[in-house]
Amino acid sequence: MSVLRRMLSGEQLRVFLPLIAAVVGLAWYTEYHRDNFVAWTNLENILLQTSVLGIVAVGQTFLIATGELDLSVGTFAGFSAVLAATQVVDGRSEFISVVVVLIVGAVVGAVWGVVVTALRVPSFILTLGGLSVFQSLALVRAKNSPVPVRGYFEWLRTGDVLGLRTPIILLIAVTVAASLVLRYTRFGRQVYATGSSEEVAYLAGLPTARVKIVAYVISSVLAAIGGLVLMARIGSGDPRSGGGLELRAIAAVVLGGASLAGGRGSAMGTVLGVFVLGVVQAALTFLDVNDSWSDSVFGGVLIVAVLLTAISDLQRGSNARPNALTALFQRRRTPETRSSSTAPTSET
Amino acid sequence: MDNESPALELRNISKSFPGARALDDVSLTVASGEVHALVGENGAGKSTLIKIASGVIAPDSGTVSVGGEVVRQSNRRVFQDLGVRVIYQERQIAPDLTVGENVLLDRLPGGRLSVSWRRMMSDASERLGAVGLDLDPRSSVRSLPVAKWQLIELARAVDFGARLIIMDEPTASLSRSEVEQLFEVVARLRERGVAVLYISHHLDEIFQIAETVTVLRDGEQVFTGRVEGLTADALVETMFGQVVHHVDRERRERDPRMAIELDHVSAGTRLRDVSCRIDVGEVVGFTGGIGSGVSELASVIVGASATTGGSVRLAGGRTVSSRTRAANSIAYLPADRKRRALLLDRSTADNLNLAQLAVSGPPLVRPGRGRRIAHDLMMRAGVKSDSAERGVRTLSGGNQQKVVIGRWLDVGCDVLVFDEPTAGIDIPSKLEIYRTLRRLADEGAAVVVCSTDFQEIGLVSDRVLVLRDGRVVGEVDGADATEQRLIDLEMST
Repeated sequence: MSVLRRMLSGEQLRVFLPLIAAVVGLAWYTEYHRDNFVAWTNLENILLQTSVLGIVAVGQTFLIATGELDLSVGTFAGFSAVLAATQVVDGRSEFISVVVVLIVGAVVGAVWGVVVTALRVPSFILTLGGLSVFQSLALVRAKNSPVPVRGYFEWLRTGDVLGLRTPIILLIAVTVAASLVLRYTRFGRQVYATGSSEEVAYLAGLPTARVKIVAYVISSVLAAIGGLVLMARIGSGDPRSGGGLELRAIAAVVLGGASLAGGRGSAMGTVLGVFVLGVVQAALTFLDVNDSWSDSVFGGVLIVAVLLTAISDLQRGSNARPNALTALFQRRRTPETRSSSTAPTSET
Repeated sequence: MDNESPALELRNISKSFPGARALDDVSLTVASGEVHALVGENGAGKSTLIKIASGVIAPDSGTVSVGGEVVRQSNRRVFQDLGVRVIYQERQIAPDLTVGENVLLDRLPGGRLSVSWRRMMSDASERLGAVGLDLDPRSSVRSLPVAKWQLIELARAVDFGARLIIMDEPTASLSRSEVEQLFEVVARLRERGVAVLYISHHLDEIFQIAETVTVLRDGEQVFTGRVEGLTADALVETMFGQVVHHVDRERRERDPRMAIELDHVSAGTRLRDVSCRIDVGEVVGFTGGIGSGVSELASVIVGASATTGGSVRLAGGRTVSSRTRAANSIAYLPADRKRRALLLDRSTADNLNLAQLAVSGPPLVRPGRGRRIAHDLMMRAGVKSDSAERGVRTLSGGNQQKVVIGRWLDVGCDVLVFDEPTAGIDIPSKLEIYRTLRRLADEGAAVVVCSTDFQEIGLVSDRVLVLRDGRVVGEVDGADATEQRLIDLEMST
């Protein structure tokens, strides 16, 4: 009980309540217009549809909390899907191909982490490069078309533990594990300290480089798992299936209360963010909104969320800098008063 | 401009921040063509006063007038338009732009949308000439030595609309000849009727160029008057008021066990061939002027900066190479508290627990235990605050410093390195920190204090080493380390 209360205290509550309100409100609105939206099957569908995004986004949470970012997780998930698919098609066992994909994920994450920490390369640019590379590698490996895996990985698609399918079980397991790691391990606390200020953490003696490398490894391994689930769900290793996942993942993490400046964020928040995106998606489908609108709605949700966070930060006054908007208007109002009449002359 | 009304008049200004009263009923007037010096210890309220006089923050009470006109709106731009210019201690320079753009940064010449490069270059040349700088306005700032950056800022401030120029420690990074250059510019400004509010802790500079001086102490105005007829000693006494004359230190038999040893340590041109052995239970002070390498030395000892020669060895023969590995045995208190020591957006408890995360320990942490430890450390370090959950940003400087010290109390480090341990904090907190330092040594730690404050070094150290240009130029026993003795050593060739 006390754990629950602490988890929902202060800061967290401020982040979670609007998200929960958004989910409930949307569901209610849709239910109002069309019946049966809230029916169990649909909730299960939403969970299923968001499972891949959720797993990838929880990984990204580790990075964003340390003040890093990985834009390549989407295409890497796609690449992982292709890799696993081609392996089973080539006759390797499911087990081996899963292990290979996870190892590749860990190696890729370690490489990003080492490059970012040792050479101080900005992660944004580096992983933007990675995004392209993995997209292309996936296409090459798949020979430009999806690699069907019918008959394989059934357990990953369906499954039945406690009446839940495997992707949902994985999402829940990953979320719970990430929450515990971030909150109750030395590494988790180091993540927040590093993200809060890398220099302060380093001078206090924290192994900031190691923290970042481990965060990259976690994120890439989760992206690989996301790719596996993705492949199982669509029944093929589709080289284009992961594109765009990275931006949605970042959106979900930020919706969940993280700051791109680092030091904030939680797995629970991220999953709620994912859930908001999922409910929006489901509602759009349910209400027969033209598919072309969906990205506008996602973008709008993100923009509104960021604005709300910024406004609440301004009101808390944690930011000592004057409001940029006010400054802009004041500049307009005050004309350039550089008249020579006020200038002291050199004779005085 | 009528020279009857003063360029700047502050009347009964008070300002408080959470946990600290920064200014208490301060009034001062700077007449046109006057150089008014503002002195006081770190934390006396000088920077708050500068911010109020330039419209960055609003006073809680009192009025600010510029050129006889009361300004009610605390807005940087309004003050700017009234002719108030500030040269901050931190460089306000965009190094990737040209010299010309930097000089005219606040008012690029040209139309509403366009920039006239030709006029910019000629205007900039003129302004640079006015401060005696012979630079090509087209050259890039990054290619220039940093000392020149200061003068570029000066050129920016000296436009024809300037009525009052506030200079915050303008000579900190200047060489002697550049200081002379600066003084010439100040003299010329004064002839033109521009007022100067000059903040410096170099008292000789104040005697050289200022006509009047105001002394702040703990936010109170303790003196305002003409410089003429004052002596440096009298000024120092008004600045420090209650001078700390003594910190208890019992002379113990020296424990000859080595705690840390610097073996011919060099770091580029900033530290050259420094050797020193520090024993268990000893407080060793390193001192010297700004730029003498004192701060660099602290950073090298703790493994935060790389050496280019020599080594730092701990007891047991381990060498210090990186901060991460050294954290188990060396505590570090950096000089720049806000940027390098505190997680400002986190709670007091998080900041106190930070070093626990650094040293090796079990992989699992229990939040409840962390809270208890934080509470205990708060008591032991003497942090005065209602709750460990309070944001560390809202604490006073003295309490923040105690938080940084507190984080190391439970970690069991054998060596503690303090860089400028009492910069910008009040006298009672200073005394408490001195006592904490001594107590840590009595309990068997080796303590290294790096400080440019000669008085402080003399008070707390068993032994003092004086640095100049990165070299050790002298060593004295703590008992003989009077300010005068240290100044003599630092000056000697």
